[in-house]
Parts: sequence; structure tokens; C-alpha cells
Amino acid sequence: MARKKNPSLRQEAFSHPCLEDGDATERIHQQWVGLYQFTSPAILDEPEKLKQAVSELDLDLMRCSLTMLRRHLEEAAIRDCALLTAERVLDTSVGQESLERWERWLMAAPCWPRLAQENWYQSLGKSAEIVVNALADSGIVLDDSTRGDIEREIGMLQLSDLLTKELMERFFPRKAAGDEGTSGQAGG
Amino acid sequence: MSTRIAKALSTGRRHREVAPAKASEPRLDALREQIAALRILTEAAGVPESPDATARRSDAPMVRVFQLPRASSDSLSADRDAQKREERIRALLNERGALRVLGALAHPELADAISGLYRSHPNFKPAIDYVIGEEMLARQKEDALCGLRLLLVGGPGVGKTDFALSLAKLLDLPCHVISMSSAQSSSGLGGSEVHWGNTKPGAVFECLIQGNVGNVGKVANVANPIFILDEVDKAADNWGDPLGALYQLLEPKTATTFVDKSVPWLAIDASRLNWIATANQPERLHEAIRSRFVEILVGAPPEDNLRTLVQGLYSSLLEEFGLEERFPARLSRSAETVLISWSIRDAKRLLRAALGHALRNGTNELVVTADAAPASDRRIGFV
Repeated sequence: MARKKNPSLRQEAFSHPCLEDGDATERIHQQWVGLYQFTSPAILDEPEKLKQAVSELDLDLMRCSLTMLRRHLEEAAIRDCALLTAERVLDTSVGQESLERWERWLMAAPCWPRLAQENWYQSLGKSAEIVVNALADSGIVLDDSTRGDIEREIGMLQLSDLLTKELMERFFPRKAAGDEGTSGQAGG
Repeated sequence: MSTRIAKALSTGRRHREVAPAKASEPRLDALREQIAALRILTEAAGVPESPDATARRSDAPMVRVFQLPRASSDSLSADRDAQKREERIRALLNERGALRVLGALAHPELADAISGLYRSHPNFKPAIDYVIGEEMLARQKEDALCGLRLLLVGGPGVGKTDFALSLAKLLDLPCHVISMSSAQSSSGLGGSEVHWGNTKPGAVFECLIQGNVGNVGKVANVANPIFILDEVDKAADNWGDPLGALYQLLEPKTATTFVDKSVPWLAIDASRLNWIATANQPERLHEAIRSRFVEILVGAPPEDNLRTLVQGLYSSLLEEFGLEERFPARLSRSAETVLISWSIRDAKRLLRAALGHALRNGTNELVVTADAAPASDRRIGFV
């Protein structure tokens, strides 16, 4: 019998065959503890013990964990870029604090600029949603046509529209130099 | 207040002037400007339209009223308060954007509505002719009624201010009445100098940029509100110059770059403002100011019209105080005869006094007598 799905719940987004056997949380804990063996010289220097430790690794679970970490990072990038872009669009301050927030976000780790680029278009969709909702909260309820126009305008934004030339050169040197990069990536 | 905007900007909403976007972030700037304009449109649409209004804001185009200069990176001002003030103003300008709705679009319906003033204000025929002429000209350009410069000259109580307010209501434009008789400097209109600790923008900046409510209770989000300069001939001339800002504001070309003294770094396009001034003695005005207006002499209405006006005044007073059931719907001929010998303002005063008197005596008989005539007309003291 086909298993029924719950697409509206988070569980669905993180389902994986390797999580369906036994107590997955217990297995994750064992693997987490087991990985510490590889930092011990007593294990690393003895081939038999090392072989034993490697054989205890659950590679499916490891791959699943890394996939999920990647997914988490991507989701965080999409969510944060959407928020930062919306802030940038709605920012009326003279000091443009929204620009500083972008800078701090990009500086946090070297992976974030790349994640921002790779997930740019997805983040723009969410950003448009945030902007439209923020406008509605301030009493500006848009009709379908105007909403569509705003969404389209936001959908056309590039990172270079939001960041200064200096920030572009610092975090996206290839984009700033005019290299368009791979077709799946955007934001330059 | 939530307001659904029927047709807003991005579908090429008729911007008369397309924003020359800044070089560095043109797409972001255009988007921000669009959002600021939506804010302005929402505010405009949220104001209840007056029942006899004919100008429809939601269909109106938008025009640019200023071009925000880039902030200087190293301000020469050492005054931190001044810098903070400039930042606040810039934030306001960013939030509200540079586009404003153009109200009172020229249209045959608008001309018809203005024509209604021939009946309610028969003694203002030349003024109404002028306004309708301007409406016709604006229609040729598919524009709005902008840049009226009307000086209504006439004795006290002929209804000059009432006419100006009635016109503003018909045009459905925000209206700002400034009593020039009590003005001591031009700061009320053009702002006060920045070297004053309490420097403040004038009415033109407040109306066009801040969108402050005009005296008649409308949010001023339009590029062409009406300013009524009441008793412009009585502006103080012993010190200061309350009319000083008008030299620039009334000249169409210079008004396009009007600078409020309190915000000297921002040029405002005030050329679309409509100006109506009233005066008893126009010869007291400087020729340079007088020549900038279309001057129209307003006399007392003819007797037939006066009788109609007096009946109208009576009806509106009954309606105002909810007395329609208690008093006769029409004034007696004798009361009419007494009232038409006075100015409209005095006639209104006499009618109020008569109504008050009747209510006090518990009678529904209205006795209008000249006993309640204004003190100024009674001969008291040395004659």
C-alpha cells in the first residue's frame, strides 16, 4: 500500500530512506560518538582498529546528514536573502542600514556569498512576498495587477542592484569583473 | 487604513515625468519610487471624496515635485543637530518619494461642476469664466487644473473666501487657507532660515512634501493643492515681508525650483500650486505681486440673486442646526428685504441672531431686524 504523504509538514522535506530503519536518532548519536574515534591516535595508528572503526560508519546516514546540512544552508540562504532584499527595497533610512546588514551576512562565512548566488531566484520569489505583505501591513493593499508588477520588478533584481560596487568586488569578484558564471547561478 | 488601489503604477501609470534614476542603483531606486508612489496613492484614495467632487484621484496621473540631491559625504556643517535634522528630512523624502497625484483633471464633467458656481455665486461670473477658461486650456493638453493665480477684489462680505472654498471643494483639491492679515513674515509660506534654532518649513513644503492636512481636512498628496491667501492686502508691512515668498511662487518659471528657507538643499517644483487671494484694497499690494495675479473685481450680486442667496443661507442654517421641522422652509419677503440690504456676511450674522432669538423665546416666528447689525456699521462715538 502506498504510503500517504503530508506535504504541508516539515517532516516531508527531510524524509530519506535511511531514516526509516530502526531508531534513526539513536543511530545518529552512535555515529556522532563513533566519529570521535578518528581523532584518537590509538585508533589511527592501529590498522585493525581503524578498519573496525571505518566498518562501523553508516555511510548512508552520513550522506543523508550532509545532504540535509546542505539543504539547511540553502534554506537559510533563501530565507535570509529574501529578508535582506525586502529590507533593502523598503529601506528609507539615510544611512541605509539594510546595506550594512547585507555586508555582515556575507562576511559571516565564505560559503554565504556562493549560497546567495546559487539560490538567488528562489530568494527573490520569497522577497516579493515579504514586500507585498509589509505593504499590506502598512495599509497598502495591492490589486492583482500591481502586485504582479511589484513581483516582476523584484524578480528582476540582481545582487549588483542591491550592493555597492565595493561589496560586489569584495564578495563576488568574478561577477564584478563581468564574468557571468554558470547558467544556473545568478545575482551578479 | 487599508485601501485597494484600482490601477497603480507599474503598468506604466501615467507618470508625466519619468524619474531619471541614480546611476549606481537604478533598478532599486525605481522600485523604491514605485512603492513610495503607492503609499501616496493609498493615502489619497483613503481620503473620503467630497460628495460633489468630480476629480477622481484614482485615475489621476502622478508628477514629480522634487529631485533629491545626493547627500554630501563630508558635510561642512559642524552642527550635529543640523545634520540629524537633514537626515530626518531625507528619510521622509525617501519614504514619501517624489511623485504626487495630479488632482482636478480637466474634463467636461469638471467644467460642468464649476459652472454650478454661476448659480451659487452669481457675482463671481468673471472669476468662474477665468477658471473655466483655464480648464478648457488644460483639457487641450490632457492636463489638470494647475497654476491658477486669482486675485479676488471686493468689499467685505461679498463672499470672496466662500467662493474660493467652494471652488476648492468642487475641484476636490486639498486647500490651505492662510490668513495674511496676521502673517508677520514669509516663513509661514516659505519656511524660516536655518540659522534659527527653531527653523521650520513653510506651508508649501508641508503641503507638497510632508502631505500635511490642509485646513479643510484633506491629506495633501496632490501636486496642485489650492492655497487661499485671505486678506492678502492686509499683510503686515511695518517689518518683515509676509508676501516675500510669493514673488517666486507666483512666477511659473521660478516656482519650478522653489526652495524653502528651512530646507535650502532641496528645490521643489511648486509651479502647479493653485493660488487664490482675496483683497479689499489691491492698491496696497506691491505691483510686482499684483501683476502676477489675474485680478477680478467682485461686486455685490444683483437683487434677484441676493434674494436667492439669502434663501440659500437660511436653508443651510436650518440644516446645520437641524431646525428644518421647526421653522418655515422659506424666509418671509420682508425678512428677505431686510437681509439683502446687508452684505452676505452680515446677512448670515443677522439670520443666526434671529434664529437664536426665536429659539430663546420658544417661537417659530423668525423676526429679522437690523438691530443685530454689526457694530462697525452703527454710528457710535464721534461722527
